[in-house]
Amino acid sequence: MKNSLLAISLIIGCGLLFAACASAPTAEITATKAAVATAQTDDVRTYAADSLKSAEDEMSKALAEVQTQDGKLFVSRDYKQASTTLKSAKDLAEKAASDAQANKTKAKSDAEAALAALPQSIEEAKKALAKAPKGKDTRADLEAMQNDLKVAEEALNEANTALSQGQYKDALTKAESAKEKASAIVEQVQKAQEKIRGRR
Amino acid sequence: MAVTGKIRVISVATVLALFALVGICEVRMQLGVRTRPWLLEAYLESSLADCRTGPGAYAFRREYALLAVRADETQRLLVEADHDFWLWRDYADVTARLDSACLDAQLLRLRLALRQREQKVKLAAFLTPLQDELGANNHNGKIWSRFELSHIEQTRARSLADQARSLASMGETESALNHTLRAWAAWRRFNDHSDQAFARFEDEGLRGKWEREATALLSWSSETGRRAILVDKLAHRCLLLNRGKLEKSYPANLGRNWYRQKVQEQDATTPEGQYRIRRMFPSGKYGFALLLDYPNSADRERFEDLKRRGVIYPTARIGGGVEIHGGGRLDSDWTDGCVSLEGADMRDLYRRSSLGMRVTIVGTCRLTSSLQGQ
Repeated sequence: MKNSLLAISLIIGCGLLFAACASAPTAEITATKAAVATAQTDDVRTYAADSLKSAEDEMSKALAEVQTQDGKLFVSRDYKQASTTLKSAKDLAEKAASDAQANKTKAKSDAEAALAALPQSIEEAKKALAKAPKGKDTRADLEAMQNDLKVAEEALNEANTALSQGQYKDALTKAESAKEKASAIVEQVQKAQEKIRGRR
Repeated sequence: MAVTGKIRVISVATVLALFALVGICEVRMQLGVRTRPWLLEAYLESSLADCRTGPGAYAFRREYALLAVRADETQRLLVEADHDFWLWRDYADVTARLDSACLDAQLLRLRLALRQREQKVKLAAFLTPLQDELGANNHNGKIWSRFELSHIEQTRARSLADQARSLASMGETESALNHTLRAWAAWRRFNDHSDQAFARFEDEGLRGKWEREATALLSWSSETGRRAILVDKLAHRCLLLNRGKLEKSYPANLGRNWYRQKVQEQDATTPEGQYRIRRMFPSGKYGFALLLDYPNSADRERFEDLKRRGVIYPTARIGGGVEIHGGGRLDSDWTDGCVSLEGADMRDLYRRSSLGMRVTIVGTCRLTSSLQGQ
């Protein structure tokens, strides 16, 4: 009798232990959540929004699976699929972070390249204006071009400020605007010079 | 026999124990919330991240901070519940808190999305009319809108509007809106400058004076049967009068600052007043030319008065050499103060002109349109 009671108690105790062991892959969940949280930054939202969304969706899918398994009887729980999806979500989150870094670096280098060439373009526009044919009939055009040059220089300064503040799209837009104005000045002066040569 | 009976009893007891265990687990699952609400947690974290980052998040930083505190508290309770033994672990309370926090996070997200949509609507509402205003041949009802005025604020407004359009196409709504508002400010300053510059054309006193001068010239031409020239600056017209009627009308271009009254040398302004042709040049840099006798006595008197009042420098000079000449460009006002006509028109006017012929230059007058309507 005593042995029987001992055996039954052992069986119940083992059963309770097995029930406790069949639990969610908490460590993997924590790691995935940490990876996704790291990716949820301004930079990633700006430069790799789609990748981040994929990671978040994958994590939601994984957690839904975990919750479904949690709701089953301990003997029938299987967290393999959930673990696989969690790993996939973690990888996607890390990819989003690296994509954002790469895209941000590219945006920065594009802006820097545009800005690096700009002082040269503005200098060429200044030289062109200095050599522009001066006469009563060109003064109005020269005044307009002086305004264009001044606005281009303002855009250059603002572009540098935007670049230093990490606003690369702003910096690139301003640099392109300034370059366009500077190029237009050089072109207009060349046309005016050709017109005069043509008259002669 | 006794042993077989014992084994049978133990087996039955084991099966019953297992069934009891399963029964306990099933009952346990039905009472309270036994599984950790992972999905709700992830949803709350994702919603908070959306409210923390992205365009316009700064505007809701206070609401975000309060929600973040609630989220941290909920996280703490979840960890506490995790440490309970599984048999009496219950997430009911913390799930209720999570539900509430998720709802508020979703509301905040909606407010953020609404703000972003409002910013886009605002951008369209400001940028489209600005582009219309800046567009070529735009007539916004202002007296100067017909003319291509060169001014740095106008150039600045155009440049900022172009940048705004480019940023809007990249999805940078906040930055595009900021540029649009700056462009509007520059455009407004240009408007103010132009309104001030052209205000004199709406001044009743000046308009009356110009009307009288133009009428006097017409009457003189009628009485004497002789030709005279009337230049209407606002209309950009050079009218040849003969015997009190309009003989010819030529489009004209003026000084770069034509809308002002001439004050001194090199101010690129076409003078207003009553003059005569002093000399006639059949050929020159700009083809045919008629030299006017600017400055006349009225001009000198005004010049000295301006010097006395300190409006111009004591060393300023009154200028001269104001002509009606050819070589005209019809696309802009380009001279240093002369009236310029297109080559063939100037040849024609020259042929009909004579030394000493009267030339009256006015800011504007109704006579121009009534003569042209004849």
